[in-house]
Amino acid sequence: MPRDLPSRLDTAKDGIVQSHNPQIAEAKGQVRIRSNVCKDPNAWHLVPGDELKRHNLHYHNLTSKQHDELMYYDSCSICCRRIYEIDEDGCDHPICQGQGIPSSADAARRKSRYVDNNGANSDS
Amino acid sequence: MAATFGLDFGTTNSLATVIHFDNESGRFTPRSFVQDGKPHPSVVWYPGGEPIVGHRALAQLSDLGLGVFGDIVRSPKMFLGSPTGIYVDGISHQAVDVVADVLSYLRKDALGQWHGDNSFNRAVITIPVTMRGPARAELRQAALKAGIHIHQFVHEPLAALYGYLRSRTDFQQELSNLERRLVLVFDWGGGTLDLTLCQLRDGVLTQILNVGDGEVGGDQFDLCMRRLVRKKHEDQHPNSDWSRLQPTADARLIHACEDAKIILSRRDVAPVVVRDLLASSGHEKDLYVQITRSELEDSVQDLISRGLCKIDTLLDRASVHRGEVEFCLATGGMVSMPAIRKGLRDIFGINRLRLVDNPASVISEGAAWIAHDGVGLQLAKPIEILHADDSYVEVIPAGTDLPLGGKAISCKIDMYCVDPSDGFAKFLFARPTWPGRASHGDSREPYTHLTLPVHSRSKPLLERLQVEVAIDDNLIAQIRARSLMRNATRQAFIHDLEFGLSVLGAINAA
Repeated sequence: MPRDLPSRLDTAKDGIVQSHNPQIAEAKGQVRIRSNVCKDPNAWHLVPGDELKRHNLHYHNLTSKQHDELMYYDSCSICCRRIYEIDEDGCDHPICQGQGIPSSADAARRKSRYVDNNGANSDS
Repeated sequence: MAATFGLDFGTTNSLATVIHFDNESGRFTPRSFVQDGKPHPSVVWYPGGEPIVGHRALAQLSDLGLGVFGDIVRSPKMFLGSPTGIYVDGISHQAVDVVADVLSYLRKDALGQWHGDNSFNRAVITIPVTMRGPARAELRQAALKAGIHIHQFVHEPLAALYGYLRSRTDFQQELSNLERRLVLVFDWGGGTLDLTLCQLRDGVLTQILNVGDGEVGGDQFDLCMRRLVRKKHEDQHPNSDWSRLQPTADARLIHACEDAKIILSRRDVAPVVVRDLLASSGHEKDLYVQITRSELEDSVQDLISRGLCKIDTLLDRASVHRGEVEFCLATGGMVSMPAIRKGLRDIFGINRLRLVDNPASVISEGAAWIAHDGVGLQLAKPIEILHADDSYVEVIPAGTDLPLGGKAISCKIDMYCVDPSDGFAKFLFARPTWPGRASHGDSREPYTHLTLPVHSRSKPLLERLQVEVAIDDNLIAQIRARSLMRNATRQAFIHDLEFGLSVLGAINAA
């Protein structure tokens, strides 16, 4: 079970990956891309953590963001689900209890509350 | 050495100017080649045979607005860069050819009036800030057809500012006073409204930001005036039938409206008189109405508001407060309208609003001074690529001299993709909002973006991506990116570069 939950991830809204770059002026409806290029061929700290692991490259000295990325795309060794699914549906395995993971009953209650507050058709 | 002319190829009027040595005053002065004190209308008439350009063509015009009217083309500039031809009286013409007719006429007229060294082969030509790259390239072609080699392009408001400053007797003092100060050029002409925020930085007159609007030009005011005249006439004569206009009546009405508009700049009331306007026998056949200034201003209030709002749009984008602008230089024919002057005074106050004495020729004179002083264009802001860590990599630095006729500059850079798993490298090209403020946290304005296919199964940072940025003499930046493993190529263009004029040489020349 992954213990470190990703702290912050890139937001994807309406299919457009949004840049966290604060310098580019924000305008409603403006399509932006997040740059994935660099000048330094040894800039391993900029490679997503999951990509480093996939290619077995330099993934022992990860930055915290790379670690988050790695964990986000890694599957649980017990239930084989990713952290997003576990967070959505909860987990009742004894090892997960007390680790900040909601139980399946808690997750269902949270979902129900969300539907009540935001309407049945909202994207949860 | 043959003189290089300044050429203002405007939407509604065009003018050529040359700087010559005046023996009487013992100094260099501009000489503009006007006709009856007026610039030449950018109008071409194709009656069959030789095209007729300028005032004679304008006299034939019986419609307001810009475009093609029967066998007359008004403002051929607006067709430059368009993939389709111009259909004049059912015959297709290339925009380049029509523009070449105007430029040939200007050249011939200037040579006829000027007895210098009898050559007009090179020119610095002015362009609106909104003119796209393909249109600039076609303008160069048209000029070549007319026998004029374009030495350099320059934005109209920048030329106007340089012309204004250069014409002052305290030119050097003015420049030293302006160091690091902001100047707004507000150029409201017959076809377009152009605004440029400039700053003099270390001897370079630098454009910070440009804004343009092609839909509030003086031609739109003429249309409003015509509607107002017609309404007043219909109020006087409810039975008048405007579908029964006499032949040539429209042309006479247009000229009467234009005259009245000019009179209303100085007086409160102007008559509009057109005899035999309608084909009828009653009193309604003659047009006689009085238009007051307030009536005209009411009818064009929306246009005025929209134009003046552009000032705040530009200042907001540059994060500049109105009070930070040292002065606003107002030029263009529309600025003589009292309501527009009042609006500008309300914004900048009477002390910070400067009106040019020669609005019809200041742009052309500025271009001629730029040619005479050998003032070169520089890149005002660096061209940068957004790095994956949200910093910026400079590709072409600010202050780079931009190429003159027939030349180009280019710069290559190798880059790598940190995450090729989706098969694309993503480039964002941008520049700092403010020249000289290019550190990590400073705000940026995007130019364009480019996505380049890469080998999706390769390791990160392995495939080399070659990026080349080249700027040609039409001031278009062409970006070519190539992935060496996937062997894909993509390109993008930047048409809205900002420029600086290096005026240090001019100070010495003055």
